[in-house]
Amino acid sequence: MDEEFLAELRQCFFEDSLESFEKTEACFIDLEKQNNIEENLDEISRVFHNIKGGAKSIGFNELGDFCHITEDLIVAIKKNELPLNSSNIDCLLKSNDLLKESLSLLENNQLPKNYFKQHENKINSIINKENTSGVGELKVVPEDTAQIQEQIQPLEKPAEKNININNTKVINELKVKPNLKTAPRPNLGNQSIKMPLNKIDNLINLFGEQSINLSRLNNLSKDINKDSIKEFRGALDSLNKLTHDLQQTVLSLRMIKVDKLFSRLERVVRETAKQVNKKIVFHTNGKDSELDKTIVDALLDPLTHMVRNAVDHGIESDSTSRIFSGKDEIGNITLSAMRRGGNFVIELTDDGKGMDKDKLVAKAVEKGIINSKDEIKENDIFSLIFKKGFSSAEQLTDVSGRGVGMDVVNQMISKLRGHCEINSVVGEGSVFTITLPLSLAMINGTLVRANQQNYVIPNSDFCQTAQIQGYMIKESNINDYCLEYSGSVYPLLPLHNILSSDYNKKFEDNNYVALFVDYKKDKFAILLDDLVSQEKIILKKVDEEIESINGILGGAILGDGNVVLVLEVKEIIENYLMVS
Amino acid sequence: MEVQAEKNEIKKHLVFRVGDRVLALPLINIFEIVTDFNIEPVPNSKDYISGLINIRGQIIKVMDLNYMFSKKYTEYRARQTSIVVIETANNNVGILVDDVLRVGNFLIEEIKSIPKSMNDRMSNLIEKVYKSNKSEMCFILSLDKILTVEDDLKGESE
Repeated sequence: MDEEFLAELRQCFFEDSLESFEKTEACFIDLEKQNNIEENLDEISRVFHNIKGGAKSIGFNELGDFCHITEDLIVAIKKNELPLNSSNIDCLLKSNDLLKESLSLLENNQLPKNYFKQHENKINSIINKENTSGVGELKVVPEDTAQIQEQIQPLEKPAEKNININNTKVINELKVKPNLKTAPRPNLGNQSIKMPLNKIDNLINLFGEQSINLSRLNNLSKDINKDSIKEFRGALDSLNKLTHDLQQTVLSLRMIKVDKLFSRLERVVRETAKQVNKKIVFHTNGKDSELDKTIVDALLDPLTHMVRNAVDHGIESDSTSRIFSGKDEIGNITLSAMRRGGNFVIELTDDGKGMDKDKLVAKAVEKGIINSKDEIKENDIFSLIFKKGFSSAEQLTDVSGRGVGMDVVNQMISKLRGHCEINSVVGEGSVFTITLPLSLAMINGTLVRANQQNYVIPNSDFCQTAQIQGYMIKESNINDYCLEYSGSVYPLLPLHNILSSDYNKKFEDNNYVALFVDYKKDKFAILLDDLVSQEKIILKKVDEEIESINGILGGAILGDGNVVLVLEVKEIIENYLMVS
Repeated sequence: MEVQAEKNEIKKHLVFRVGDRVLALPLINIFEIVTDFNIEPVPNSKDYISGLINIRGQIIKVMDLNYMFSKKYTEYRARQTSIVVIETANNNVGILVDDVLRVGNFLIEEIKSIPKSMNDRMSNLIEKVYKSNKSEMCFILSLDKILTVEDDLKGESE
């Protein structure tokens, strides 16, 4: 087989299989609730069967054989030869996990020999035990077990050989990226995405319209006179509308449903609850909401951590105290996804013991994060848990206290241009609200002007604009301004100063524009010279050195081909608060 | 015979002028040369960064070589001032030069290391020197040092 073709087949196999495993995970969890047993078992064995076939056809024989053995177990359960108890489900889940891990190992060509052996033996012993203890005759006739052994043996030996041959082959193919020292991760370079066909049909339709429009414009341009101008404008209008629709459709190609993310988290809840011995039901809302694929992928780690926290710290440790406070014995954790305004909101709710503000403050003082109670505002208390070195658990447990603190979670969410808010009532539970942009690719922004230079500020960053006269600006301190506007006073951050260290002109009686920004329940005003236009921009990566400059989110290219910097107001305010 | 073959081996270099210095970079590292550009300045950035330009949808950082060598900003002259875009693994980077002179075939045997005693600001950025009978002497820039220049300049200003 052509090596390149083989590599391509393997890539396809990895992607398909990974997706299938997410499906089976949901089935397993359903199975445990003893729902739709037959359908779920069918689905699982179908997936394992497919992977077996796929794996063997591209030379991953060890993997294929392992699938086969797992399939045996499922078949035995289906035939009611084995009970569908939680230990058997665990066994199947373990197979699922092993296969999933082995896929990423294989992808980086790091699959150790006999990777499945231990679990294979376990499954075999489960199947055989049932056979031997169930059917008396087998016990008496030792040849039968020997025969089984014989059957297993030849299966394993050629498998090893095959893997060896393949290994050298794969090494040759993959020599380009030899040193992946850390835990293998799925190759991010060339991801693919599955989408409903109607999105593509829609795109084709719009393109059809577009080309009709183009020819209409071409026709019109042959004969331009006063009368045709109106028609010209009409064609231009519909071109505008079409381009907008096209843009929306193209962007929607990157959107995927969050259902798979949710079912993976359900798994996390299940495992964690088992580990800490709590009874918890996991509810989800809005599984079908769509979000940019890169965001969905990047959410897995922080959400996993938060869900674990909710199980470990959120829900009460013993059910009696739950009953005592008038709640159901079984804890509830709810994960909801919804669109709110131009944002995507994920809410994680638990009905556990909630967080005690006094305790949090005491802890923060003890840990040296703040000096005294007065240092922190009432509203900011819950955000203390995002501070580095803060872990509110009385004891570090295996479940939550493993080094990835909430500060890392917060950072990961900030990286996605989102933020997290916490609300909690003692005795009633906590709500974590993560607000995210719908898409990272396209930003609606306002082109603004300050210091004779243009910048884009994302529309989601501010809530109001106002015309300002110079006399409304007061210098409260050297280089520290405030704005008096319709009866209130706001801290004022002039872009002129922020973006140029040697700017020291006074703000005279000119006209300015202020953008009002909500930041942690306070309102700030950003001063600039003028608003230029509304732009839809595509955020582009710029050099890391430049992105690390405070206040700069990235760059974009305007209609005239010039580069414009995109500012991040949140960072500007954070920096301002830090300095002052 | 082998030694003979090596002797005549050549490596193509792009030769350009920065101030009154003649500099060169291996042609294989050059992505393109831009003569028609519009640099968007970046506030609060390092002094040697001129700003950003757009090359067919890719935003590229431009560094001012004049400033790097002599702390003087490049003066724009039409038809002369150019941006040489260097290809790197992550993000391409542009360097602002006063004039692009030619592509030279450098004999490998005539590319020499710079004398250790050279101790001006330049030695931080140049790696080798080329001198042949036919052409004037030129310095070959060290790509690594240009791309990681941040640390070097910081160290000097302190």
